[in-house]
Amino acid sequence: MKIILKSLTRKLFLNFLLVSGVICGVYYYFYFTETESVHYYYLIGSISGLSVLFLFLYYFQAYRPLKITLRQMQALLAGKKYKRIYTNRIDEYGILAHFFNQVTAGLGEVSSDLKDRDRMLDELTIASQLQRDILPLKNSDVDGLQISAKNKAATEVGGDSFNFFTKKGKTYIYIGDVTGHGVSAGLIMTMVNSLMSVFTDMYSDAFDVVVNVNHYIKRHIKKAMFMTMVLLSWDNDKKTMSYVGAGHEHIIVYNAVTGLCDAIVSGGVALGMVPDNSKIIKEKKLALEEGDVAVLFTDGITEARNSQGELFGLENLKKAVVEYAQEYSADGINYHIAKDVSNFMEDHKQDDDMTLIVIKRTSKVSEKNSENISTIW
Amino acid sequence: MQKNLSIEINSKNSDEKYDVVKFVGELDKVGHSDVDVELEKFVKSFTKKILVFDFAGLKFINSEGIGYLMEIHAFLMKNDKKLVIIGANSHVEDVFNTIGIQEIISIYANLTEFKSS
Repeated sequence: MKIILKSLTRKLFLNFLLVSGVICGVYYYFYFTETESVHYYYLIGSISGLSVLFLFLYYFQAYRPLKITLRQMQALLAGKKYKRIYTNRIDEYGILAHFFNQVTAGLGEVSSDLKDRDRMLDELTIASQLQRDILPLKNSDVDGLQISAKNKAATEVGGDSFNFFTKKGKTYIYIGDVTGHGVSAGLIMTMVNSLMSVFTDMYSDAFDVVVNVNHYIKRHIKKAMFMTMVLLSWDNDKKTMSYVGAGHEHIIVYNAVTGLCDAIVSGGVALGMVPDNSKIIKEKKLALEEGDVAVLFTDGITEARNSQGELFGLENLKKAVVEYAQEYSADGINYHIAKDVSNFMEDHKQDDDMTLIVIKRTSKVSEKNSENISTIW
Repeated sequence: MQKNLSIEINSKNSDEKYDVVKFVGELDKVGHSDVDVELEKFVKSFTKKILVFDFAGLKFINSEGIGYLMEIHAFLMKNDKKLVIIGANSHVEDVFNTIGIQEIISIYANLTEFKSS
């Protein structure tokens, strides 16, 4: 601003000198060439005319360009629409206008980046919502089982997947985890969830479902990506449970009679690793008696870290299952385990998606029906 | 800043069939980003038949780490080469067993066992 003030003062002074010089010259001319009475009229007229000229020069050289620049600056600062300042001047006003143009051009780029960022965030929010809509929003009890699932993605779009389908007298419960998380994992998870829905309609046992899902996704995902899964199959009539593992985490099974729990290796190989997994995977029986609990989880839970970098681990998860399995319903067990994990993590950032499914074998209908309970962690 | 993962490439052994890459640290997304450039450069220029990853110094691996191994395995297979893993600790071995990677990549307890195979 000092430069502008100096410039204004200098221009004012120069204009004043110019006008004063012209007035003195005119006065001097009339003083020596005209009569005294006439030269006073000329003098007054000259002074008036030259004053107008002075104001005219001042307005166009100093006031107007400064006003234009200041108006655009005010618009910028007030968040209103501003325009580029066009000028050929190379003096202080030119520099000021050029500076304004450069700054606003940079702001335009930043603003464009921010708009792009906002647009991408909006799209991620939509993707996140679409994914939430694909996964079951509410839990679903079936005859003989309380089922409680909770899911929490580490980013807007997660790679964990789970669902429940009742088809042809069987209830299928699956949990899956795509390598990593984020959009690419989310897309694969979405694809697999659709395949599970279709293949549980087409095939009559869990083995065929997993073999065909693997066969399909092997052709459609890149080498570094795969999905681990365990699929439980509950026979609604016989009240028996079986499972097929595809490289997923252990299944924790709590025995209500002994009060102990085992971590059963789900077995198999992750989906997308080999073209044909039919020789590697097996459908096995899972004994679940009254009061027993089966817990499915993704590695986001056992690999949850606290601020010291320690892992929550399988042992802590097993201890939590033993602690809560006898006393609570499936939803209560899920709630307390999730709370334990959150307490363990304290303020540490969630590194990976987390999904926890608790299935309790019971002939009793839960007082708090799981069907009304959200699957959001 | 301390790295989560570092590698040591031993390509000067007299055996013309294999080279050994030693891993020290944690192989997850963060760890991988510490070594990806060096590792990719080496893998792409690898001319022998077998690449041995020595995991004796590897403390932790997750599914993303397995994903990177699968990528290298696929690249080597495509070029008629092979990836072998030795020296995995119990945690790393558990992860391998869980995901079923042993169905695809050969895993040995140590270099001696690998050589004798």
